[in-house]
Amino acid sequence: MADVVTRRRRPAGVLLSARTPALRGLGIIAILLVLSFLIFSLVYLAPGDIVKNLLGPKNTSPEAIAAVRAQYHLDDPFLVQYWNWLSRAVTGDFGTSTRNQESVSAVIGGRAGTTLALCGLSFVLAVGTAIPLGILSATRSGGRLDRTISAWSVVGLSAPAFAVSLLLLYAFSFYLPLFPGFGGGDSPLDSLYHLVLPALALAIGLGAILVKLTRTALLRELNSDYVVFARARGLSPRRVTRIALRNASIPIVTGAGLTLSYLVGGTILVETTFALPGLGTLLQSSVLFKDVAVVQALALLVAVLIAVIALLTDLSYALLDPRVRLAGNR
Amino acid sequence: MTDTTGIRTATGRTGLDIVVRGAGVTGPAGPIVSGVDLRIGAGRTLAVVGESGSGKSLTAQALSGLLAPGLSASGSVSFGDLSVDLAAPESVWRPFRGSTVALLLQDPFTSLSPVHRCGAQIAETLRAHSAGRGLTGRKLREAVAERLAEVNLPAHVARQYPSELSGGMRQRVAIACAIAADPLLLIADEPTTALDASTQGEVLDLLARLQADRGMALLLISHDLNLVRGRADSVAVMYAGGIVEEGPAAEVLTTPAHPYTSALRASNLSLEVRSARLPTIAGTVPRPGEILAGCRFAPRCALATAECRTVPVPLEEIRSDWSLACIHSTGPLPVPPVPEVLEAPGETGGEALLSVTGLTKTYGHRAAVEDASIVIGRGESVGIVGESGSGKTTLARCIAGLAEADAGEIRFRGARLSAGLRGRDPLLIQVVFQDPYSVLNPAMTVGQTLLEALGVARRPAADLEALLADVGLTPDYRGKRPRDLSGGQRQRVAIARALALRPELLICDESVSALDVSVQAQVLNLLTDLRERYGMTILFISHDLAVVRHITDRVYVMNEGRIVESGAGRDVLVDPQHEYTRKLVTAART
Repeated sequence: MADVVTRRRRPAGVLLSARTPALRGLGIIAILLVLSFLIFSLVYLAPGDIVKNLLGPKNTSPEAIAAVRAQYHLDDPFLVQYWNWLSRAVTGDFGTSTRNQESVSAVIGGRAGTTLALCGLSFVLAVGTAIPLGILSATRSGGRLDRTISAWSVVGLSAPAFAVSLLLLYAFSFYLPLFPGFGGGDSPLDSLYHLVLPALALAIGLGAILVKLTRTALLRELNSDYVVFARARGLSPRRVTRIALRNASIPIVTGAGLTLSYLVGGTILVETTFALPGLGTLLQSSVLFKDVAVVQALALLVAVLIAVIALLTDLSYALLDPRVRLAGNR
Repeated sequence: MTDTTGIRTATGRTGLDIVVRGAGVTGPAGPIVSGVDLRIGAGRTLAVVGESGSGKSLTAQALSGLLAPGLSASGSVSFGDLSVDLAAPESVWRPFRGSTVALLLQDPFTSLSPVHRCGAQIAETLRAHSAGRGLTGRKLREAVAERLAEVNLPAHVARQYPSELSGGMRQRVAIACAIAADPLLLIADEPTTALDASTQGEVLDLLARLQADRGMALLLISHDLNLVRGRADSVAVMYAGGIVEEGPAAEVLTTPAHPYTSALRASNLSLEVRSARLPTIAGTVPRPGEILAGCRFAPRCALATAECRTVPVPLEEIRSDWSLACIHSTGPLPVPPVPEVLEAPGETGGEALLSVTGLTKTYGHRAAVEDASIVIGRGESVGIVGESGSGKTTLARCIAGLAEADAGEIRFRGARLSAGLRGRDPLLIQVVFQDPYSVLNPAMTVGQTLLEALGVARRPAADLEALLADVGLTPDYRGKRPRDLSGGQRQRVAIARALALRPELLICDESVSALDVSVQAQVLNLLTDLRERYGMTILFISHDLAVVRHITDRVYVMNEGRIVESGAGRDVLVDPQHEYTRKLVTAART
């Protein structure tokens, strides 16, 4: 999936793709179909007997096996099974979780809020600090501040999310008990309080990438002719930076979109470390308990999310870059 | 606009002379420009001419405090009784920029922000200065439209993005941006070099009109003596970081007194006659920071004596309005003899080496080349001229196999050639490209590059020295890398690389356009020599009519993908029949 996303970043492809949003939408649907097929095959690719996988570790009586075979239409041809699964999945019906016999959509629905809040909070934290820091770094390029920011962003970039999580847990939950160390909280405000440390852990890696991205993009624009020309006309440094930033926004937004998909992976680790009841821990435990229906649903959800993010990022090109927009109208 | 409210207007500030004293630029390796004194009368135009490396652009940047980091300026500039130290920091310079001095850059394709509307960019200049501060809404739009009208653009351009405009229109928008805050001095650094010949004149005439209307001083920087002729009151000729001659434009450009100006003038090609050999200036411009004890031009000067190389030569007045830095010359130098005239017949003699019939190439739904047919005889030199976008390069690329034509036929010695490179013999056609800076692999030495080419031709490595000698390079060049070479030297290596295969047809795609005039003449003479020595056939693509006139026997003229006129060089370029060719020729003559 990551590969598909990266390939779409290439400028030439972007010019072509942004020209026809409808075509891009169709392309994404095609990719999702392929992915859904692979995801459905997971149940067959997973080691061990499929019936046992569906049944889970307990209760392997012949009646139960027969019931499962009937319930999942396991005697149907593979493609028919896939079609049945997909046509139900489109309507939001992913079957039943084998672990707690609830419907998969209900299980996911109950957990999605925490993960969305975590991703949203860390994204806001990362963007809110990284972009100003990147701008400071680029406008004072070569100075002490720039070197300090660059050095710390390398540290943030190379620190894995779970290690940062542990560090934050020790520092701000154990030694300085400012924040709770685990759980999701009861009231909305309490939930937010519980999310501060995990969001911070996620935001550090994300922000480090964004600082680097903003700095590089803005620095390139600051060295361009139109910036010299703007200065030559007596524009204030603030106006000049704003003009350059508007031009740099194209690569920055793309980068930010790309890092959103990083969040999807990172949230699993962070939720596990902080024992947050989100989709990450759900995925982790579902894999552990071989709760295939939930794993399939989550994998498809992630694929859809990343595809939508990629589409939105591509469409934002047209919004931000008149050259792309005009080429599309022509 | 009025004077009473304290708003400074263009008309209220005329009559101020602009005086530059001892301007210099120093880089990490040492001084690059030194001792530049200039005086520009109010409402006058001073042209600064010189080749690349003369320091003219750095001087322009220093005069607006816009030198790149790592470079430092010295000296001062005064606008009437207002004096600025050129070494002053950004905070001192900023209030001067836009309202006192504005710098117009060379390339209108990069000097405007691509994601801002043209009107917004003009408004930025207005709002940055007292004249436009506080202007909003309709008032601001009106002020922007006023500036656009001044550069002959309709008001709706304000709502357009630069990418929607042609090069000439973009440069007009850039001019509107530059003059929006009514500067006393406009510095235009090669303002038309990136434009087609037919729009160059329009933009220069516009600058002249604005300068006259506003009583603004104009510092016009150019490498092209012809361009400056008739458009400047006085001229300063720069060479290797210093002024060598300064005086009234009419006299300096026609009867120069400095050997360098004289040689530069002689290197300018004429459209009227074709010379057998072009006058050149031996050697190359010294590198920035290279310190020469005496006259900077001495190593390349015909008049130079031992004294020139040891004694510093200051700029001295030979008349109250004419100064010169030369020990030997005291007045206008004799005009060098006109080179031997050479004219070729307009018909292909003998068999056709290459014939192209009905070639068409489209990109998307735009035809780059449409139904083009050309014939090149064996041993002939044929030119294709046209402006950017005319399709001449696409046609050359199709012939070379670098692009695949959609329709049409290419025959080489009667045999049909495949559309792409596949199945072609590399020994038939070779190409020398335009940009000598990107055409060589920077990681390979000259020797490695040429040995690779010799390998393709299955020629022995021992041929390397002869190959270097062919393009006028000594054997010690084999160990050098592209970064050690000047533009002219790089282009020689690129020619040698093509020659290594002893191609039957050599395609030169704007091969001398990126070179200075004096170096350009050297490379053109080299091509003429090689053609005589090896009986090579040359297809020469260029936007420069004078260059094509001298290097080719026959010419094809292209416009919007079609060939509109063809014939002997003299017939087509001296007495054009087609309207488009006439337009090109007129633009080239002015």
